[in-house]
Amino acid sequence: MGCGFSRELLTAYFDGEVDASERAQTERHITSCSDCLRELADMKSLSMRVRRLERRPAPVSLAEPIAREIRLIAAIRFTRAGRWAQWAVSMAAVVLVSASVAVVVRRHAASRESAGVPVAVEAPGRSDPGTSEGVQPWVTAPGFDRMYTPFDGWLLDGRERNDVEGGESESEREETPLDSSGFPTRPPADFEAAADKSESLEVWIVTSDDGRGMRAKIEDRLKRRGLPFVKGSPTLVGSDYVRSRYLEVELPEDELRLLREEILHEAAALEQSTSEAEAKWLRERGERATADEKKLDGTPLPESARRASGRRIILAFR
Amino acid sequence: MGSEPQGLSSYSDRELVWRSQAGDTDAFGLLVTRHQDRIFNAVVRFCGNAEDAQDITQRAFVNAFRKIREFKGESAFTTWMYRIAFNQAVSFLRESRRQGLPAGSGSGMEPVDDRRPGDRIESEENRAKVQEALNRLSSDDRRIIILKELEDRSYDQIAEVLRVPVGTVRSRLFRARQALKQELKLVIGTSP
Repeated sequence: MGCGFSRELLTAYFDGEVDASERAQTERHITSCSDCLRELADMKSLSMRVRRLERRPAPVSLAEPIAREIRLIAAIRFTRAGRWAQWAVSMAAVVLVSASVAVVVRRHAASRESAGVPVAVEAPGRSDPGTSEGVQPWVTAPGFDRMYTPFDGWLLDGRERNDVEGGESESEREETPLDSSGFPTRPPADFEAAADKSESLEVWIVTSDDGRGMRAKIEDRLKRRGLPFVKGSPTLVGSDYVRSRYLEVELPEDELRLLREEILHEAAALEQSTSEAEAKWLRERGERATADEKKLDGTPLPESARRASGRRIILAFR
Repeated sequence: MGSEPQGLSSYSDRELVWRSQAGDTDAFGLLVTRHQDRIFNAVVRFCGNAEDAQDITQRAFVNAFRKIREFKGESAFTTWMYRIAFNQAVSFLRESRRQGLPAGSGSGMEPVDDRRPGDRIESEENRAKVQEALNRLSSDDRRIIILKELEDRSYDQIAEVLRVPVGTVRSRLFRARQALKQELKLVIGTSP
């Protein structure tokens, strides 16, 4: 074709992707150019030919494997509490690994300057954070936001990490209205920023000791499984009261499953090691939780409880 | 996941994405339900094989869920999914070639039509030849032909999927059509 007319423009004209001036320009040209007219006819013929290929609906067996896999991913990445944690209240939840009791710590911005250390103890049998009627799924105390008590797992994301360290602003905590199924009715203010680029995960292990024992155990297990131990650094977080430390482990996402097994194993070991005396104290405390929480003004917990309350594992994504 | 979870069906894709980002697998399931036909069709035409296309489409959706927090909502979910699916397909086919897998495992055969067994006379042969010509195109050319001719995407949408300027879509589409015309000539022996 030697007319010199833009092939790209002719293509766009054929597809109806030109503005008014380009359309006029093209139409003026094709009235006198048989080559371009032929080219347009070829495009039409080719297009019709391709469009005759049948549309193939997805096989019925397509969706189920996807559902299975994303449920597994979600089970690790998110928890029921995690939804709250990530979207609604951005709370700090610290989970005592125990079958029937849970300890939740939450620091409220307004009370951050106060000497009191927020500790709430959930009563035995309330460990399910579900919302069944008559069961308060969380405990509250003056100076604290809502607290959550999972489950069989662990949670936290980068924002909770800030919160534990006291870095969350009041505006970040503004609560989003939830719909009947407990999900936010609108995206968070930082929706755009919420997308996290990292595909690795971070494990926080909070203990009442210096964390070295736990770190060594986890690290050893990871190594035996051939998983890379990217980073591990015990760091003091929380308050004087909790004396918690954590360590971080970053792993590729496709190793989540193996890591979860490792953490579950470690959690089971911790659970077994929780002494009956500590559990008893927590049960008694839990029964009076509502009243006692109001008195949580810095009174030291018994040593046994301090040891027990440190046995927490948090799995965090960022 | 096959049927729409109750109460979610009125949600827009964007709302479902928010919920998926918060870990709602039902919401993501609904996104799968809504988009699986479209994505599967594009993939099956891209790789020319229904079995591989199913595998690729599944991986693409799982990948999308893994990356859902990265989705900023700047483009439509469909656009984002096309991009993930095509990337997945390119990786899959590259891997299949590296492993030297035989025909039927990503080699580019026309998928068997098991829905209309009686309607396979002259038109089926033509369709198979068009698919064969498509298979002979470069992955870039195939992708843009599928998006325009089969998925009927606008230039703006194609530009988003391919992450190129709209002007580039014009030139690439022109070249892809020229290439397809040539391949059809070779396959059929006549000009389209």
